[in-house]
Amino acid sequence: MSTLTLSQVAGRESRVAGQEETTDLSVFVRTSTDEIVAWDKAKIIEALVRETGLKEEIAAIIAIEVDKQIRALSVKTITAPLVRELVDVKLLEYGLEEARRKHTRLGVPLYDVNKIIAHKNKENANTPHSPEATNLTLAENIKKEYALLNVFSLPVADAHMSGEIHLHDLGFVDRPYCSGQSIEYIKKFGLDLPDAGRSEKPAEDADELVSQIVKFSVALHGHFAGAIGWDAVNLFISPFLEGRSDEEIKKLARKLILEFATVAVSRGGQGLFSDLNIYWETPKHFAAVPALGPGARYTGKTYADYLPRAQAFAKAMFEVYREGDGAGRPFFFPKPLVHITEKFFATPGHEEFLRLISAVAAEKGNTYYVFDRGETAKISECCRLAFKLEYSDLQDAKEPWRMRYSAIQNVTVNLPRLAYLAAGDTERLFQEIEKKLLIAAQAHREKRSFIEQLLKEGAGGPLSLLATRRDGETYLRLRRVTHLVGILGLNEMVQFHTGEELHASPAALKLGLKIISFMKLKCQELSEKYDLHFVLEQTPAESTAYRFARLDLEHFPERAARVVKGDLASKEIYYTNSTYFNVSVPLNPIDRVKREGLFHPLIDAGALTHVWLGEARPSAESLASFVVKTFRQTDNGQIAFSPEFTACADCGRTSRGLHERCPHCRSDKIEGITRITGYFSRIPGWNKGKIAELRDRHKSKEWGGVTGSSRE
Amino acid sequence: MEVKVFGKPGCEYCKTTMKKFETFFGRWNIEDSRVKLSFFDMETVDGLAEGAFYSVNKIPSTVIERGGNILHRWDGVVPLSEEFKEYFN
Repeated sequence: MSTLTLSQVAGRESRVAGQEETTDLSVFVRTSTDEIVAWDKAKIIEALVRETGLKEEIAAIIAIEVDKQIRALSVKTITAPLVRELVDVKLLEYGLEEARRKHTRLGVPLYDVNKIIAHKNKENANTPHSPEATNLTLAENIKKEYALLNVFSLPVADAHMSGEIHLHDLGFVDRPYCSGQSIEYIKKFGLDLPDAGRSEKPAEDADELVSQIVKFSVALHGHFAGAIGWDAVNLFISPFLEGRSDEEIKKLARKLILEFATVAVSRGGQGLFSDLNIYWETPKHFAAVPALGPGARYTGKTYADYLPRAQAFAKAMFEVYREGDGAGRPFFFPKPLVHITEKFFATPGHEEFLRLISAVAAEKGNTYYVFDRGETAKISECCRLAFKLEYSDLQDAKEPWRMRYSAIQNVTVNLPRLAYLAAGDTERLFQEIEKKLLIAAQAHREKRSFIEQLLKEGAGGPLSLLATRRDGETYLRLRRVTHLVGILGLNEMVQFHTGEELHASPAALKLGLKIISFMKLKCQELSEKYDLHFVLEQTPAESTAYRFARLDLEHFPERAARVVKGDLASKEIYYTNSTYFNVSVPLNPIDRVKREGLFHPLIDAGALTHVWLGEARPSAESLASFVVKTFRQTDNGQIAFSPEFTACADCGRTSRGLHERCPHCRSDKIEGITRITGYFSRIPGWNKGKIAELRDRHKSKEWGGVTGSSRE
Repeated sequence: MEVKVFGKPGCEYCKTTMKKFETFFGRWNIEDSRVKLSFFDMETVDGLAEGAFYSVNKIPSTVIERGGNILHRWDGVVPLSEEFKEYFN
């Protein structure tokens, strides 16, 4: 069969259809580029050949049939999306499934767009409701479809869509997950933003440095899906504080926190999800490192010499956190993560500092306590993601701007689903886990390959910032990225398999530990097999805990109904996050921290226990004592205390606890604030699952037991 | 009563710990039915999980347990026979 040219097809078709050329001109197409053009079936042929690789003669047959159909409709105007749909139907009729897939149009139904514009996106409580935010949501919807169609293979996409796994941040498929780095990079190289087409020299003073840190964070926020973390912030800023009074240091600390906190003009109007790591001591691996001062000039001192300045800045930061924002509310971002180490307790003044950060924890809830035990040096990247420094990292620590770490993606496994599939058979349970870990690894390899392609485009590509080479390596160091395997619903998995929840018996707890141990060792095997770094992470699972529960109730209604948490009638349901115990169980706080902490050494990418305070307001001393006890007597990797607040729009005051009306002025124009997963947010923005979890959370009131010795 | 030793196959101190308990149990005529001696390899799933349950972060670690209650434990050291003798009298 000879191949027809476009003009031949057009000419032949006119004759075949017996229509006048004027008929063609009487139908107009509203194109996707905001134009109305005359109907021309040759465009279909062009598109099919270009987009699907079909032979021109086959494309011509499809075009002819679609043309007939359109003429039969007797319409004057038709939209390009409808033409595409008609073509797709024809492709299906001819059994050209792969061509149809390639020819798919990504988009959002009118009904959905109306909903997106009119209602808040509750998938992420950090996304506000504004035109900028709805732009983000619409773009995310299209990129999600794109990812599932074009980045991931069919088995991976199907596993996600059926709820066996969750591919996090699909709407950000063209960027890595999160990033942790040192402000030394900015101090050394200044601000170089390829997208902005301009650069700034290394900062000459502290104010300029703070400004550059925030601007660079905003730029990074546009290139990563999740959090942006900064290591040892107070230490690295310290050479810029020489000669500054305490008052000036406090002013600078306020500027840093406020600039981060109020950048609500960042990506999609979101708050700038940011983590600031803080040390009271000089970490061993930085102590002898030459300090970089203003203008990227070495000061002639080491970082150990700047300890008093670093401590002054850390104290000033927490004084600012204690004051809160203009209305006395806690700052949602940046989150302060204080590292508690053996050296912390050996550094003079630690008692006073611990009291200060614990006062902030009790009053505002901001403080995260990260426990780095033994000689292990650890970096907290973002959210709860942390990892131990290897030899090469300790070499990089001599030039800390090299210390840039990123996670490529997070893929969470739906653990309760696997228990339903195993139906009580333990051998099968572990087989199912292994199968899903293989799918997760495949998903990571596919995402990584996609990111590698984008990165190869270099300065002219979409990831030009991450492709920047200032120290011989690209900003995104692919050799040091991690591939996160998230855990969700261990409690419900164990509950379904054994009839008991994790907290209920040593046997249930031991099965939970065995499952996580299995997953950890399998991740190690996969790391060796693929030469990629796979690690377990406690997924924060803001929306995944709800999504998995919802999908399991649909696919396994009887089984899921036995263990799912929340209210089935109102569909406000959820699975328990990661390896946590049931949030409603009235465990003594130290008991929860101790027992949940048994899992933490198995979870290499970081783990956290929440202590829900509710209205309780323990003293700074009792929390400080709790922290010391947690460090000394448990394996827990990180804790945070979470109080609740009610903010009033009428009188502008913030009260402790969640109230129906403002306790001060009785107004009902109030909104609750507390920690959703790894950050504070406004409760009205939460999804149904998290609302149900909030209702169930057991708020600790047993603070007498913390300072005593009864739980030893 | 149960004695649990946590270690790794390549760890000589771990092997010594096991050998020591076996030797003294023989010397003291302690029957297997009275005391169960187990080695948990921390490089296996079962060993890692059991080690996590007992918060083992150094090897060798040894736990003496009766009825679910820990009577004594040693972390990162080979126990001395004088230290554990009292639990088997």
